[in-house]
Amino acid sequence: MSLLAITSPHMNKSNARGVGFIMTQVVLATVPGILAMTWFFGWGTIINICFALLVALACEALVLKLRKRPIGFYLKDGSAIVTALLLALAIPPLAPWWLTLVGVAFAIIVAKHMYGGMGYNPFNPAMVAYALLLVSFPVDMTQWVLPDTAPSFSGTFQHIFGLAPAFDGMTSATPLDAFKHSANQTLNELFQSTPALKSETLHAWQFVSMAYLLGGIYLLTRRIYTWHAPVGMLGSLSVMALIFSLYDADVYASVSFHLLTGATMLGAFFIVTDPVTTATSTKGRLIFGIGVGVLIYIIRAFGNYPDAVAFAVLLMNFAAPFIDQYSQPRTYGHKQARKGLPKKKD
Amino acid sequence: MTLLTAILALVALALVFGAILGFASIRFKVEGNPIVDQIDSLLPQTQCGQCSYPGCKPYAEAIADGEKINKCPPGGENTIQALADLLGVEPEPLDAEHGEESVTKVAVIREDECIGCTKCIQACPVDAILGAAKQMHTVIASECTGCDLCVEPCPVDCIDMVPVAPTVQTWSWEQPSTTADSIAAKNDNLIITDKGRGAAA
Amino acid sequence: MSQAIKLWDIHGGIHPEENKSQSNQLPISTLPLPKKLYLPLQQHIGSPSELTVKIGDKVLKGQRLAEANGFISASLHAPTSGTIVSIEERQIPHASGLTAETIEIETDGLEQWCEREVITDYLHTDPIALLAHIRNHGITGMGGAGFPTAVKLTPKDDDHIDTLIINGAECEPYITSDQLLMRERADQVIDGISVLGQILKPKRCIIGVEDNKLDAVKALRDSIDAHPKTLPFEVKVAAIPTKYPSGGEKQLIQILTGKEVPHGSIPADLGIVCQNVGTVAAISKAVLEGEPLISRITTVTGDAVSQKGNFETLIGTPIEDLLAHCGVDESKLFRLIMGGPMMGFTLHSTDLPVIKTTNCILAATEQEFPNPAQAQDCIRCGMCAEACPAELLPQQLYWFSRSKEFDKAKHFNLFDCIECGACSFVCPSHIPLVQHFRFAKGGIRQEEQAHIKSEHAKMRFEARQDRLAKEEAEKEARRKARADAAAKAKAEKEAKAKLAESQESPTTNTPTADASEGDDKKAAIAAAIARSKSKKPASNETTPSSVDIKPFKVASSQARAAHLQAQRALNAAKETGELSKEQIAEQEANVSSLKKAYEDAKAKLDQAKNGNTVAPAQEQAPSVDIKALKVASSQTRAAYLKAQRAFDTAKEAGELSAEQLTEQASEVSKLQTDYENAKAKLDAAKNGSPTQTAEAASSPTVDIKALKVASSQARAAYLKSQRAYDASKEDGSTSEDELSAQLKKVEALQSTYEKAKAALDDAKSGKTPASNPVAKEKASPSPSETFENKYKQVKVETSQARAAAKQAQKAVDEANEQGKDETQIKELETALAESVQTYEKLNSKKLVLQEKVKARKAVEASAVSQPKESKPAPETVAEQPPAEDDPTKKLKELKVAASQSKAAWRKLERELGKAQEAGEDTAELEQKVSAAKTTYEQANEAKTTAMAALNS
Repeated sequence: MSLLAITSPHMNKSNARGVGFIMTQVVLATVPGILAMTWFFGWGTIINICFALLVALACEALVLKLRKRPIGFYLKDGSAIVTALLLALAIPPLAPWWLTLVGVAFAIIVAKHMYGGMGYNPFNPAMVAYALLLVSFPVDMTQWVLPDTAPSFSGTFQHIFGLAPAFDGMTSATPLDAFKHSANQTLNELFQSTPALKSETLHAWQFVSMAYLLGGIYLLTRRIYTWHAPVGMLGSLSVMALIFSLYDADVYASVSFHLLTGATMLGAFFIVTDPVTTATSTKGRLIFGIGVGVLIYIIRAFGNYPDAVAFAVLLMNFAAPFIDQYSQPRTYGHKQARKGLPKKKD
Repeated sequence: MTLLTAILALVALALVFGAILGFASIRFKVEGNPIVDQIDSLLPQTQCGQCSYPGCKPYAEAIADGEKINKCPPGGENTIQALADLLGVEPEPLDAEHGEESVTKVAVIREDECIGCTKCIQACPVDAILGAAKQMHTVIASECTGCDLCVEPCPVDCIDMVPVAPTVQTWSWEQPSTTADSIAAKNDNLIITDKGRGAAA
Repeated sequence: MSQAIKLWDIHGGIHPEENKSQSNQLPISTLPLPKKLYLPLQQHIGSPSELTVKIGDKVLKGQRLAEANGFISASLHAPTSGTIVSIEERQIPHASGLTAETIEIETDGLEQWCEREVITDYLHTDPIALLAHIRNHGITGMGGAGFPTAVKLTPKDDDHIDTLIINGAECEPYITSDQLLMRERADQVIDGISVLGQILKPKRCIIGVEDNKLDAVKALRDSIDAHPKTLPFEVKVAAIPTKYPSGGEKQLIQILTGKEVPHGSIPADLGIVCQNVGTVAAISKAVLEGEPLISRITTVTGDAVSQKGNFETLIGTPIEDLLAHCGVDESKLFRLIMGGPMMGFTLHSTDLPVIKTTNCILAATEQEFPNPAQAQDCIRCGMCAEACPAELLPQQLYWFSRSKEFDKAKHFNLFDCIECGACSFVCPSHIPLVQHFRFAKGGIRQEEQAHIKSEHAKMRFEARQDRLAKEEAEKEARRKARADAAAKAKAEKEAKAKLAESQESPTTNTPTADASEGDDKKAAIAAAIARSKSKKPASNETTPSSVDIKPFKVASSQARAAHLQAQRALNAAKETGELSKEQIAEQEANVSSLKKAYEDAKAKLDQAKNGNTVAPAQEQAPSVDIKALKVASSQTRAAYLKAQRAFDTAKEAGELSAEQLTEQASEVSKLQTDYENAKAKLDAAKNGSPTQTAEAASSPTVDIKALKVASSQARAAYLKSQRAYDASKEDGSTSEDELSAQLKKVEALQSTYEKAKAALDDAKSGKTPASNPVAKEKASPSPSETFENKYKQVKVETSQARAAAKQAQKAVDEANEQGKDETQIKELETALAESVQTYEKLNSKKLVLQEKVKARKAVEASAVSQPKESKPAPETVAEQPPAEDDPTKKLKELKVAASQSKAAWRKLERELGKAQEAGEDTAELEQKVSAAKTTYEQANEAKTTAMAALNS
């Protein structure tokens, strides 16, 4: 009989709630969103997701092999799957296949593994890839199919993989994009004149957002993450939108418009909650979320890009270590929290 | 005329700022430890001379004069790291020419073989060996720095360097190995951050 | 009693499966008495206890086996009666699996109690007496680390204890020992609280029990209601929410009072003392029943045992016995844990005893506690931070611990971690966070220790450097002083020689008061004078007195001048204070000797004068002689005493090094011998003169004695100068001229010595034929004596030659090292060869002589019986190394030789190994190694033979 000698604790619940479990829960939580997207924007979303997953797993395996790491062990943690899924949800449903390929490959190879892999990447890989695609291929990235006008499954498939000529007129900008390029019009005129801002379109977006919110609430109840980052982000975004729309309702969109269009909900519950790239403490996460919300509003309202979640998150990723330094919790028995790094001994 | 004004203005500025700087350097002078003492306090003080200097202080002085920081085997990587931090230079691997890092040891005299020649007593830099001519010598273990210097002079080779065994009081848990560590130890690394994961994460 | 108590919440915490119902169903049962008990000397925090028993002692139940050693320590008592079988290093129940000193008791089954000390009226007992009682009964904390309870109950002066908290939370899963204790022995707990109340005088007491143990809460409340008299303060039972780790001391304090124990303080600083229920019960047992801490309640649980439950277990019971009693299935036993699953540690075997802190033995199967999954990378999910009851950021500390950035880990409050394991419990990446933190804590402690040690080593090193520098400086000063003195002496000598030349001293017998030769020579001269004087009457020569007086006068005045000069020099030196004490003493001796010489000379002058006036010198001469001798004797005595005093003061002052002291001591002893010699002479002269024995008999004796003394003194002087010469030569700083001057001096001394010796020999041999019948009887051993003398002489010569050879060798080596040109080296080498040859010659001569002496002696000794048998013996001796005939000494030398050759061989082997590694040519080295090996083997053989010979 040989007795095992290891350090305490001897019990843990991570056998049931490991990293794999967390990732599975995240994937599960995206299901309502996927369904809503598919309902409104057609099969493109599902096809994109499947293709992105394949690419992601292949890239991950390839890099792990090059890094001489156990492939099975790392594939099982599911982080690549989540990355691919989030990216696929963020890009337009009818985006061509190579867009997905480039995005996912860049996310996995460069944004994740080049920085050391799981747990070491300072920037959210999905958002890095999204930003790359948005900057490199702005047209492809902003062409969304109008709700309920999506082609059939085979049509979509052919469209995505370039097997059939593109259907014109079926695509349009997202509401945010349309809103962005709406110079010299009051909001009312704009909403009436632009197809992307018709009430059906808006309803579709709102519905999708609500589906993400549902998934996020599920994750919160399963204690996959704490409320701090999403609430911080949504709160600050709402406050910003409220202040500005009160100031001039003709120019600045309403709170609900900001909350329920674009990637706001997806970002709040699936992007800023990515544990690796945010601040560490709960206080830090709250600050992180607030920062993201403020930046989203600023970029949306005053920047050049229609949607701002990716840039806001990336910018706050930069700031995360800094936030960490100044958001240490106060330890038991100490009057105040430590701030910053230890001073050099003299 | 303009030229003259410019020159005068510049000279005036230079004087003013010079005065401010001079005042500041006197008024806000930082009374710090001299660098040699700081370096010396990081060295393990075994006085073993493996760095080819006759003691830790001389080596500290040499480091302050630009000597390499990787010549101290008793201090090992930790000392190199600490010195690198202090001096703001890149840590280098230990110079194998001066010996290898090993566990803390203590000298033990095999007492029936000791002939009482006092040679080890003279060699010991910290007076940790007790004895008199023609009498058996012994090492005061708590004072021994494990510097090795008494081994060579012994004419009958009766001094052993024994690793210090942990006691219940000094024992502590080992560092758990991580997956990345064990893999990185085996393979070359494709990505720069894979290197020395354990050392600098 | 059931009014609500305000409770606070703690940060974090977890809710692991409780798993308490397996073991809390049955009442506490008692374990059968084990055959053997193993009691480690340290079962508590602090210094190990000090043994008060020895192997073979019979001990009674409750008898003290070891007592507290220091303030933070605890006693240890015999759990039952029996015999102490052994006290040795054994593996102890500790996470490290290391060994420690353990007492092994073989139980006798009688359960004989020793005398018990009971305090029934504790409410009227001095708290200090109660504390002493608790301390003497070995009570330590029973819940966690085993901190000596008496220490915890001894508050600092300025702490007033306001709240007593009794920890009955028992938050760890699986463990139910406290629950059972509270359920079944609530009265004991309450009595214990009453005792603590007498010691601490708190205002209130709160018993914190998790709300999953409502049976215990009820039992306690009932018991409190039943004890209104003994509880002069408010006692409440608080049912606190079940949450791990609410039973941590700091956490329980926070839950019950809302206060946090500040970092670096203890609860007593807040006016709070916290004790475990088990400890309180043990206190009550110790005070009311006089039973020391010899048993405890231990939970045995886990799926590997069939009969789970709580057992009253004697401290020291082997876990094997405990598990066997509970029906362990060894095939299923996968992980054996002492303590709970969250903070307990694994045991390396079942062959370990239950100790004072063993609240649970958890024999788990693989299904229960499977191997931990491989750790993944940290995803910074923050779950650990949420769970941490100390509000740390475990993932941050993990990074620092992992990369050994200990100062950062410390900065972020690593030492506030209570190692509760909540972070590891929740970590989705299976990272053994607690082990990382334990490693970092150990690393920080080690670094601190190393730093302390290095500071210490630095201090010692610097002290040594200072000492060496000081010694060097002193040596230098001494050498300089010596050189100065030598130069001065030389100058004086030269001056005197000139003076002597110009004055043409008429007789060699005249004392010349040569300062440089000092006491010894003068004594010899005095002796010679005495001899001549005593001879004079015998030969009936009446010297013309007028001729005699003049040289005496000259000598006297010269001596006086020399004396005065020396005195002046001494005074000057004293004033300037340049010279060391020792040197001054030396000079003083010099002065006094000069004075003596002067007085001698004067006395002689007087004597000569007297001789002139009083014609018959026949009787006068001896008396004058006696007078002179008396003077000499008293002077030497004075000198001796003075030197002795100087030596004593020096010794007391402790200023001089040991070496200097010995030097002084030898000087003192020399003076003493001088004095004794002088006295002897005086006595001899006294005896000689009044009795007027036959000149032929008495005067030669005196003569021989005097000569002997003179000879030995001359020898001493010679050897001393030789040494001084050697020393200065080694010093290497003296110039060659000086050296040669010294050498000359040495040679002169040597010749003096040899002359003296020859004179002595002459006198001796001259004496024998003329001696009385008694002397004739001694005639037969005389050849041996002469042989011996010769032998001695040769021996001295041999050693000189050897020294010379050594020096030559050294010179050659030095020259080689310094790289002098070859001719020089060759010259030196030939010199060396010569000296070696001389030495060898002398040595062989010596050996022959030695043999002869021995043979002679043997012949003499065994003159009666076997004169021939003893002869071969010296021959066998001669074959073996010379000089020493004492077998043990020889053996020692052989041993040294053997070990030296061994060392040489080893060193060569090492070199060879290095060379081989370096890939150099090793043929030569190999040869050397084999040569060294054979040398060693030979030496070893010689040693073993010698040993065998000695033994037989």
